[in-house]
Amino acid sequence: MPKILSIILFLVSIIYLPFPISLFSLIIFLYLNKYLNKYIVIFGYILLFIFQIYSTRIQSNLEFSGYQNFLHQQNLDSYPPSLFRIGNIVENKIESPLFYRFRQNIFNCFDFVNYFKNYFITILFIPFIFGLIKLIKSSNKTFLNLLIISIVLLAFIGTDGKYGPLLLLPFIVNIISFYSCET
Amino acid sequence: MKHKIALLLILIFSFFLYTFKLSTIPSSVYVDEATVGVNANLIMSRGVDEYGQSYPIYFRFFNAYTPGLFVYLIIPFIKIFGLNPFALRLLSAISGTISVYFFYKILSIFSKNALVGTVFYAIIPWTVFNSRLGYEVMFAATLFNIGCYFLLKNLSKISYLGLFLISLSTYASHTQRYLAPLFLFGYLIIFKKIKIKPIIFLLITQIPNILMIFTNSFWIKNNNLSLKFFIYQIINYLSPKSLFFNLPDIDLQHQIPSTSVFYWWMIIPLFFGIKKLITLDKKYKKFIILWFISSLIPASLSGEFISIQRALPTLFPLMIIISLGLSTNLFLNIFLFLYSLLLLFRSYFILLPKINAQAWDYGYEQLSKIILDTPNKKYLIDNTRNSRTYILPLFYLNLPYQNKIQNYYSAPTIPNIYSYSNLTFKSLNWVEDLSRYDFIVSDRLSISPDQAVEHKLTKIKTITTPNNTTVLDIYIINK
Repeated sequence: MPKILSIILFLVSIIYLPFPISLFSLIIFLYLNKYLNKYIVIFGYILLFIFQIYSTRIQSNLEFSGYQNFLHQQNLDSYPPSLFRIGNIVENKIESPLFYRFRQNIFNCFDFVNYFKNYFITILFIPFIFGLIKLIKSSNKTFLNLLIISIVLLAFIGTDGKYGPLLLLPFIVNIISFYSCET
Repeated sequence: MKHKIALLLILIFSFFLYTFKLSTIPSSVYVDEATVGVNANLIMSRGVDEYGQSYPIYFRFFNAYTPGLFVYLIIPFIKIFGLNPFALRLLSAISGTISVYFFYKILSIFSKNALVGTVFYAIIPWTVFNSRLGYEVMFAATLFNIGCYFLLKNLSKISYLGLFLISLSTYASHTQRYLAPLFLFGYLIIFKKIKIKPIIFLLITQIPNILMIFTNSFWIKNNNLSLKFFIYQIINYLSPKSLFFNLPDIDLQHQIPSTSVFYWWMIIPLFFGIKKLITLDKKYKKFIILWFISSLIPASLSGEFISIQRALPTLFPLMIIISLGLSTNLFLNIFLFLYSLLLLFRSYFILLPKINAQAWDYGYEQLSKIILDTPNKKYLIDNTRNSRTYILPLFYLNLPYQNKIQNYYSAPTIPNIYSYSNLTFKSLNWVEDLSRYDFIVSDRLSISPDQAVEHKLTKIKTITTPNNTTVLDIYIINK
């Protein structure tokens, strides 16, 4: 039986979430509390995975805006003539705009401000931090693997879409509700 | 012995990194640096600051008050090197190098991988940035960190040296004035050291601050924040996106282009570091968590906007956690070190002096040289967008200046009009000012080309940044 506090936190954290995300959050919550097996979780995850791909404007991830091109050119122009060759290698190869975009997508997955401004009540950040520490300590491979797969996928396709990083939200719900209450 | 030599090399390298082209990168002197230099110079030569106050405990810098220890300590540097950017920034560079040493000392208490962590601490963008500033943040943070080292080293008893250094840091920076009592309160309670002797010791060392509590100057930077906003601020400071990718600080002067506080890859050792932290000896774990949390609170309470400089004390405990998670693989570490150095070289030494030149008040050194060539002409310098720029020609030209105010510590309001030598800094008034002055200096927003034609102004000089952004236009008034 899940703890009362855990159930309360779960209910509070899904208040602003769309129904499919809340439903998948519940599936993970029940799995973590040992009411469901991992295959149901994986099946639900695949559905959400497809939903994430369809709701994301992947094309926008491959095109660079005028501003990004301006920044890239500005960086290139900052190198003195004696370092222009090195500058070219650094700006076009090592720190290329594409690699920057890839990194930007990864860090959008770690944008706590976005989560606790647009998806969750701000005060839930406190149980989230406790839960995150417990999660790092834990050894639930299914949960961790699915979370890592989500981050990798979002690094490639980005989060530009109507629902944003929806693939991650059920995991955050469970970090807030399940892991924060783990002893 | 090998460790000692390696540490010595790291320290030499750090000092080199923090002093390399120190006068020219950042590309000009920022107003906060200039005000420190001008006031230190005035104290050295006349014994009073720009407002006529004799040896203040807190210096009035623009409309705020800053504890004065840093100002007094840069006086010998100004005496030796003169009033210039190098003299202003050297104490921070020395503080940064000392902080690298104490980072090693702290890390080696609970990690065998201390040298690796120390190398990376020395080159993270935020250590380098703050070790090259002409104001107090790095110096104050270093005093505080050394104090923490002595407390951590002697957890079974009380280190009075540690208490003294932490107490002393409150006389160096505004942030430490709030951080020190918070941290010490937590330390005395958690480690069961609430005894009469250390409390009396701390009270004695805090007498000057206690006296200042009853003046407005002590409270001037305070803000009333709701709990929700306070948590929101903490989220902002703790978000990995802010720490490893993109600074949310709206002040461009606080930013290094294309980088953040840490290198992006350090998010990975952070997670491993948290895992290691959990397994550390309970007393060390408690100490680091206390250090980390207490250092976040003053920054989160300090205002509406994110100011990453106020969160500088968080850097040390956070980097300790990251260091705990660093790999022991030599080749991987060498690769990461070289890659990080490349990113640092690119962002700090190539991009910052050009892209952020305007944010660093670029242009006033060039303007000061022009003013020096025309001593009999009257200049009006429009300060509508930045009322603090009056301090820059004072710094570059080393001019005598005093704007005496009564009730110094009561924080009286001063109009944003400053006059000295042949210069006046105020908002441009088209009706009155054209007959009073010979030249008008403004940015692009103050005077449009049409207005210049309408009021018979001839542009004689445009000052641009190294990447050709116009910062100041100088007009002659045709009477």
